[in-house]
Amino acid sequence: MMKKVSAYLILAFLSVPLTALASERAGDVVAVRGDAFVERQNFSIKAKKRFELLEEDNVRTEEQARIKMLFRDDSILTLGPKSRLIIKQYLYSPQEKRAESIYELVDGRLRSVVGNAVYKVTTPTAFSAARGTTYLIWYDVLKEVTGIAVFDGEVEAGNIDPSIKETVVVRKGEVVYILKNMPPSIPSPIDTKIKDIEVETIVEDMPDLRFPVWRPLIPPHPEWAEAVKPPIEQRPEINTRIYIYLNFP
Amino acid sequence: MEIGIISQNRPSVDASRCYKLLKTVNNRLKILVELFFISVILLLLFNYSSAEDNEKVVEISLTKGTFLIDSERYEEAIEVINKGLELRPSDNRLLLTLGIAYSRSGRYTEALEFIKKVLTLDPENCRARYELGLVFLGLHNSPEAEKNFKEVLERCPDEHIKDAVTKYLELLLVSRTESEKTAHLSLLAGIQYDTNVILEPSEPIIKRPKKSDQRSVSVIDAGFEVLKTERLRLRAGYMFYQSLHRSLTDFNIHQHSANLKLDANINESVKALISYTIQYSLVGGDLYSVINTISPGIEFQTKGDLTTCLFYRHDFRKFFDSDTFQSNSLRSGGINAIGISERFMLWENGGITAEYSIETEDTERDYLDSLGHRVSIMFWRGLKDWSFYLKGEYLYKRYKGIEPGFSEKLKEGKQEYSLGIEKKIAKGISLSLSEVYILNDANIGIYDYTRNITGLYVVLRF
Repeated sequence: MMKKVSAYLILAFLSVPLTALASERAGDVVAVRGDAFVERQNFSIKAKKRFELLEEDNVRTEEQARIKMLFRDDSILTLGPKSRLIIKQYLYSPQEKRAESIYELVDGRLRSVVGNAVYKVTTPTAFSAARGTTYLIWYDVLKEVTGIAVFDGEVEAGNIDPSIKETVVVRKGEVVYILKNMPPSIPSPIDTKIKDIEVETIVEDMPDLRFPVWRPLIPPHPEWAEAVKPPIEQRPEINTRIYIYLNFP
Repeated sequence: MEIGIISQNRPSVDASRCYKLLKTVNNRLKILVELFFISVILLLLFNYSSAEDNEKVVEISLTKGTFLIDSERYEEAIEVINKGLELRPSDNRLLLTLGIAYSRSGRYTEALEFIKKVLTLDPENCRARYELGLVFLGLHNSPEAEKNFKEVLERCPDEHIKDAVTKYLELLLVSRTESEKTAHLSLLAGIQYDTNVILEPSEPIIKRPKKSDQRSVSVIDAGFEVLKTERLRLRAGYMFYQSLHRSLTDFNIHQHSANLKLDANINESVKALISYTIQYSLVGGDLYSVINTISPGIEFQTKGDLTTCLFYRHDFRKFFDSDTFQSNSLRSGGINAIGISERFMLWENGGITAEYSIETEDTERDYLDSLGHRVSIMFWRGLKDWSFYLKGEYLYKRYKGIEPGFSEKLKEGKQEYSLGIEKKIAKGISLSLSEVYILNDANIGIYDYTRNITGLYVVLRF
């Protein structure tokens, strides 16, 4: 019994930092085009600029929508239209300013500019691991195929099924396809169609515009506070005091 | 023969040597050429890859910089964007974002430099033109701001930017109309309920039959500009106040107040001010006081939206005795006050005003002479049809002499809290509600009192 209690205590003790880590900010939404949502603990919240993202958040975009996210390690992730991404794991070390992150692309497309992170993206058919890379990954639910196109750096890719051991290193300017239960295809050059898709996914953002606060038709001024007060400050009347003088013979 | 042989053989030996030598030189040259080409290719590759790296750094700089600006973390944004600019010194997007970061942080001179650079490279850049207008607004250069905003309106296809610019142009028009106004007139009429008209002590020796009352209040406030040059502005004002009590008619106040105010701009951020006011008051139909006030000051517009004013005030006060105030004339004398006020604008039409002053009061009796400290803070905000204020003030006074009949010098602290709210109901007409609570706390019980004034008014502005 004691052993069981101790085991629970140890488990509870160990789970404290993990829970704390789980609720930490992973990144922020920096731009939204169209309708995008963040699903968190059975709630769906419409994503807006500066919305904080946490581990386990599920980010979803509607048709013709895009969402750009900036993570703490400086990675920039842009989710294309009709896509869904889960932040599976995000561990950030503020001392090293470095992260270990795993994302799951359930559907649609994702453009990544990888910052200072050990960065992994999985799809239902594939995994990709990158460091300091710019690449596009997409998953077609109907065809059950993942495409990975690299624009800068290198990406290691393979089938999500651990029994398929073959992996491939996709270099700059190359694309691979990974079908369900199949090893990755031989890398081939990126065609213009893929380049166009990448350009379409990019969201260029600028700081918010500044709108003026409307000048009121009623100009408030400090004197206004005085106008409603009686302009004379009479002291309590000292002459109402009663003095009684007693004279003794 | 031998010679011949030798001579025959010698050339053949030399040719072979020459051939070998030539072959070696040729090979070495080949290696050198190959090495040269390899280095050129490597150099190109290296440059290409660093160009790719630069692209990534620039993208991160822009995205992060923009995010930091929107989060109002301007110094961090400037640092991040500068990292990108080290790699791409003439990247227009980076230059514009840096200009915006400087502009939002109130560093308008630096912002002007970078935004102008963007417009030199791309004169049709709408966003840069709009930002330039904002920078000129920040630099209080309304004509230049208006010029740039109008240019955006004419050329820019972006509806969102056009919308913002239209609002700024409307704002500029309103402020220009206001500043061009040379005269103003406002009327206030309303009713008040005062819980302590006569300032009766909280624990009076003899309780009066009535101390609270209702009254009507009328205020006329008028002013006009006598003189306006580039540096000087002279304004004249007049205020009339009349209160009519329902029962305590002996406390009806009738007051006329006239003033002259002169502002002189010393430079862009320093202004000298001087004002003179004469106030003539009657209470219950009897002459109560005549007060002349002169107040010079100097105002500094510091960085951003903070204005500091150092002021001095002298009141020449003459009080008159009446049936109600039989020893009023003893209070005649003067008040000298010196103070500082800070006004911090949190919005275009709202902010916080804080003030501190130290004042000495000289009268005809030492027990009425005092040294006081006054501190106040006021928060106010104006919206399209609404405006409101909240004010708190504390005045602590220490009297210099002992009043006959008492054993100690009087010390009193007066707390005053007020709030007001005004709602525009039609053009030039608004309704206003106000509440003032006063608590006077003294070491001599007879001077303790509380007072509450609630009022409802109609305000007309012309």
